[in-house]
Parts: sequence; C-alpha cells; structure tokens
Amino acid sequence: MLIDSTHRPWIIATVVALVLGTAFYIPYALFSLKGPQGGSATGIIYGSIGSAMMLFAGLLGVRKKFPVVRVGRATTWMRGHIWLGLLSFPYILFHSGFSLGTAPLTRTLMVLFIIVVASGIVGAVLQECIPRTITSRVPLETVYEQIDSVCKQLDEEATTIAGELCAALEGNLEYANQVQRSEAAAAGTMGGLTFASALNADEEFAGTIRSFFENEMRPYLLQDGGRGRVLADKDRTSAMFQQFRILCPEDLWPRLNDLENICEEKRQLDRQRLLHRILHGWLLVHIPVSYALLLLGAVHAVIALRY
Amino acid sequence: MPRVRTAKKLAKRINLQYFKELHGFRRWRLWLSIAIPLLAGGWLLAEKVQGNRLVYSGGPVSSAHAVLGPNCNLCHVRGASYSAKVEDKACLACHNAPVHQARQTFTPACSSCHLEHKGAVRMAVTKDAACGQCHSDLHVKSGEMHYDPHVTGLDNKHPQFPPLRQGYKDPGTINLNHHAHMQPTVRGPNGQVQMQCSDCHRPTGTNQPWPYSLAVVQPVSPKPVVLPAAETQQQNECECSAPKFTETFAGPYMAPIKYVNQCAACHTLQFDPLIADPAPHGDAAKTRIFVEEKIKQLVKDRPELIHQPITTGYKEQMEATRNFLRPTRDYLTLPTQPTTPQNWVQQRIELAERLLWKKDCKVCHEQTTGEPDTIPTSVKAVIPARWLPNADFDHQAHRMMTCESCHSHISESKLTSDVNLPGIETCRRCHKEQGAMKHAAVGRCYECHSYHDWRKEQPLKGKFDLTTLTSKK
Repeated sequence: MLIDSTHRPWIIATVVALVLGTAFYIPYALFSLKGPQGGSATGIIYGSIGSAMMLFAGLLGVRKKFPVVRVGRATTWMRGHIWLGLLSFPYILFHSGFSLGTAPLTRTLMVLFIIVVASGIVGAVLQECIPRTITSRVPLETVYEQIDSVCKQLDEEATTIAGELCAALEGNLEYANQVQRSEAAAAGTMGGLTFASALNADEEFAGTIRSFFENEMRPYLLQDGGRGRVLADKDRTSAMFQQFRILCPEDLWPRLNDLENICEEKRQLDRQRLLHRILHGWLLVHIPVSYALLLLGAVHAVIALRY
Repeated sequence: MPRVRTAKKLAKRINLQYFKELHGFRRWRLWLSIAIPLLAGGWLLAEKVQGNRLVYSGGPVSSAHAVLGPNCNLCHVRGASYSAKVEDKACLACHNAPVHQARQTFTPACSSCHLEHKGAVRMAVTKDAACGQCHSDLHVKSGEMHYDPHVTGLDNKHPQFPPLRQGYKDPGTINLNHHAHMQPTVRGPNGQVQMQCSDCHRPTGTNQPWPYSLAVVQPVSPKPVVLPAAETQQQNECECSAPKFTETFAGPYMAPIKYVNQCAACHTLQFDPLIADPAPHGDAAKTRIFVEEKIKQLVKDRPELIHQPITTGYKEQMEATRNFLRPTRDYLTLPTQPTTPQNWVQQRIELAERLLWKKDCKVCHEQTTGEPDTIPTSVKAVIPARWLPNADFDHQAHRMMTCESCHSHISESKLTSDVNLPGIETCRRCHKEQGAMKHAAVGRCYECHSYHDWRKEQPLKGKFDLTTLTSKK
C-alpha cells in the first residue's frame, strides 16, 4: 500500500498549508489593487513556495539515482514527493490567480503542470491498487524485466515436456513403466493380427500433440502477450487439455498437466506485463513532462522577475 | 516426473545482471526524459532565433498598444538594474496625462491603475480599488477639502450629487415653468401643442430640426447639417463664412438651450403687428436700432398710417393675448395722441419697445430697470450646461429610456430654482458595482469619473519613428 497511516503527518501538514495559503489568498484576491497577479509581491511569494515544492518533488529522481547517499530515507522522500507535489498545485494557482496563462510560455507551463499533477495523481492511485492486484492475480510473478527471458525458458521447458510426451505416445520404451515393459515383452502377433501395444502407443495422437505444440503453444509462449491465442483464455485452455486427457493414456497425464501449467504461467506473466505497464506507464508522461516543466519554469522565473 | 517450481529453480531463471541493462520500458523513459525537455528548450530557442519575445509576454497587450506588441523594449526599458519593469516615464512618452488634482497627496504609478497584458481591454477601465487608494480616506496637501473624504464606490458611501443636497437651487436666470410647458393647452406657432421633452432637450448633434425654431435641413450634404435659420439671421456678419453651428452626430450632453432653437417659434419678438420681421434676440442696443429702422421704413412705405390711431393693427394681438399674464392691451396706453409724422413714429417706436422690454423680454428674463429713457438690461442668461462637472454622463447611452423615468418630477416643476437632476439613487437602480455579474449596468468609478483632467493635457512631441515601432527588439 503506497499511502498508509504513516502518511498522516504529511496529510495534516498538507491540509494546514493549504488552509493557510487559502486564508492569505482570499483577502489578497479581494482587496489587492490589480487583483491576484503572478508579478505582485504576494504572487511571487506564492510562486516561489510552489516552485520550491515542485523542485523538491523533482529531486526525488535525483535521490533515486544515488540510493547510497544518506539524505533522508527513500520513503520520506516519496511522501514528500507526493504531498508537496500535490500542494504545489494550489500554490501555483494562487500564484497565477487561477489563470491558466495568457501568454504562450505561461499557458504551456500550466498545461504541463496540469499534466504532471494529473499523471501523478493517477500514478498514486495505481500504485495504491495495482500491487495488490498483482499479488492476488499473479502468484507466479517474476522480475518484470526478465519476463521475456522466463518465457523463453518456459518454451524450452515445454519443448522438452512435449517431446517426451510425444515419444511416450509413440512407444518409446524409455518412458514406459515396469508393467508396460513386461507386457510389451509378451506382445506379439496372433493369427496375423497385431495386438495393441502394451505401451499404449498412439502415433496419431502424438502427431496431434506435436501439431498443437508447434502451432499453438510455442507461438503463444514466445509472443508478447496472448492476443489472438486460444491459450490466452484459461477456460478454453482447460477444455482443450481435458480433451487431450481423454485421448491420452492416464500415465501420461502428468506431462499434459505440466504443459497446462506452463500455459497458466505464461498467462500470469502476460497479466503481470500488462499490470506492470499500467502501473508504470504513467511515468512515461510524468517524469519527462516534469523535467520540461522544471526547465520552462526556471526560464519563466528568470524572465518574469525581469519584466 | 511432474514439473516442480522450487524457489531455487525459479531463482535460476533470473539473470542476476539484468538491472545493468535498460529494459525497453526504462529506455523509453530515459529517452523521453531527454527528448521532451529538449523539445521545450528548442521551442524557446527557436522563438529566440526568430526574435519573437511574445512567448514570454505576460499576455496579449491592449488594442491600443497592439502595434507595440513585438517591441517590448519600447515600454520595458532596462535601467541599471536587472529589472525592466515599466515605469511611468515610458507611459508619459506617449501620453501626457495630466495629474488628477494639484493638491493630491499621492500619485499612483500608471501601471498600478492601468493594467496591461490583459488582452484587448480598454486600459481606461480601472478598478474601483485604484480610486479607493485615495478616496477611501481622502486627504489634500493644503486648504479646505470640498469632497466627501470616504468614497469607495457607487454602492458604498457615494454621496448624493451636490446640486441635490439641501439648500441648493438651480442658478438659472431664465424663467421657466416646466409644468406649464408640459400642459396640453400650450399654444404653439400653429395652434395648441403637447410639447415633448425632446422638443427642447436633445443630445448635441441630433440631426433633426428643432420644431420650435425656423431651422432648415440642407439635404445635399452627405452629412446633413442643421442650420438654425434664426441664428444665421442673428449673426448676419458671419453669413459669408462657414456655418458656425453644425450638428452631425449625437453627443453625450444635451444641446444648450438657445432662444433661436427652442423658443423662437412660440415666443416671437414681433414688436409691431404691421411689421412681419421679429426683433433680433440678444443685444438690446441692436434691437433698438432694428426697431427704429423698421418703423421708419414702415411709415416711409405706408405714409397714410400717420393719419391713423397709434394702435393701428394691434387689435388681433390684443385679442390673442387677452388671457395671458401680460396681455398686450396693458402696454398700449399712451399719454398723448401723435400730432406730427415724427411724433407718430416716435410714439410707435415707444409702443414697440414697451412691448418688447416690459412684456416680451420679461416673460423669460429678469430685468434691471434703469433711467426711464434707457434700455432696460436683462440679467445675463445662465443655464447650467453641466450639473456635475467632475463626472461624465452620456444621454445618448440612455436613449432607450423615457426622460421622465429619471427626471421623475419634471412635470410638476414650476420654478426655475427647482433642480430636476436625478439623484444617485436613480443611478443605483440600474448601475451596480458588480455590473454584469448582478445583471446590472456597470457601476464602477471610471464609468462616470476620469482620473486625468484631459483639459490640461499638454501637446506632446513624438519620439518614435516607424522603424523603431515595427522592429522586434
């Protein structure tokens, strides 16, 4: 959980700061001669406070780059990032007099700021919900960056299992148990007819399995996600393997189960990939736009203080 | 052997050096973190290369200053310090704005009242708070203060208009009974009339002839010009020059009341029933000469008149004025009967002058009586042109309303001393400080008051040339 009871002091401080800022803003907006303006003394104070909060929020990235430097705990930085970053928004609105900017630079700044704050809020909500979803729905979770590698390993593992299954179905003695081997030794022909093999050899079904593996399972295991694949659907997969079990000798069922488990693991890895993208995708907006905001904000401060 | 997922087996799947390489997701984040700030910086750089500094502007400049828009340095003059904020001297380079009052204790900076970079708004539209800087607690450098010291807006503590305060009377010297003029029994030049306010009171420049003057409209002119005939008759010496009194568009204030425009048709100065021309209005000496010349000319043209009674021709006029306050017959009594032509002429002149001075002039003018043989002097006509010299009013902007809706007591006003100006409570019925937010007309200070006394504006010598104005520095 991202926001828990440890955030209470930060929440209280944020609310108090917001109330104070609002309490000063109302008389300032009502009675100042020119109305609330960024260039007025009060406006500059609000802008400076808001910018300082934004800057602090932006320093979280620097803090993460140097985790060994002991400048406060990472959790403290994260709490400051969340709450000061959030608080900077009303302060910047107080600075601008709730104007979204009339000049290109100021308007761009406000648009970027809104994007940053909105994406941050979305991110905080996602960070609050998605990890729990991953825990409950992806018990076979792995390291996100290693998903592709794990999928390849799953493919290799499945290839082995499928090969063994097919070999067993084709009567390879290496995969026969003791009873089968003894029965197989007594097998022969009677009256020109060949008795069914004690090894339950079924070359046709082995071909079916091989075809299924090559055409369905391998591509599914090697592709990013399960779009358009039957195996991406748990129920259909289960039904398919149930059919296989009807056709397959019972002693080979464990191998079928293994293949089904591998499909399930792939499904979970796909789900993890999707949830991870959702969980971290907002950062592709939040972080780059934040840098642009800080850059343009610095230019705005320098220019505005001059004019 | 069934497939077993042990922790050890799972751990072996992971490449322990995976974090040393940027995965696609983190790679994208890195590149975007570089690209987007670079894009933002590049945008500013491109604007810089193009010389466009409007990107840093605090907002679009007002329409009046739009031509200066790209050239920030014209107003933002950088001094010794880093700051390049606009100072008063930058404004005064183009606007020689006179100060408000010589005795004011505080002169605000131009930019504190006139807010620029707010788009195409009128910069004269200032906030009430700007006026309230002084007028909420007014002090003057020296002398007595004649103004209410605590005024912050129309709704709040604005005093009643001075002419409507107790003890104030209309300083006008022309006898006028509005009540009498509004009656349906008033005799006009062609019979009874029901006069309307607009028969005598109209904003300046209203391009219509006055109904009770002898005005004519010249239709040939692209902008019709109303030439009051009586006035041109009165100013014979100017006839050769361009018309002095031209009216082309409606103005904010009511046109001044002039005898020739509003009164002449009914209050004729016909001094002799046998002479059609009325006496000129204005200079009494010129009137006397005019009367003498006309009567001498009359006798010269009709010598038989000297054998007739001196009151010849007055019968109809006596009848017409029978019910007047000043009937003509009261002024016709003469001590002697004329015996010679000269005596007839002299007595006829005396008769005409007596009618003019004692009867016609006194209808409107108070007179000072001097020696018996001297011309009586009328008190100088005073009609206030503006009742509120420190405020502006635009009748044209209020043209959709009836006159009586504001001047509500006008039909009962019988005395010249009555002040028929609407009070501030009348203004407040429509004008409110919040204006459109309260579904009302604007009620802010600038609507009626002007900070700068533009009558004192001095000529200004321009200092910019076209190149300077249009360059992007």
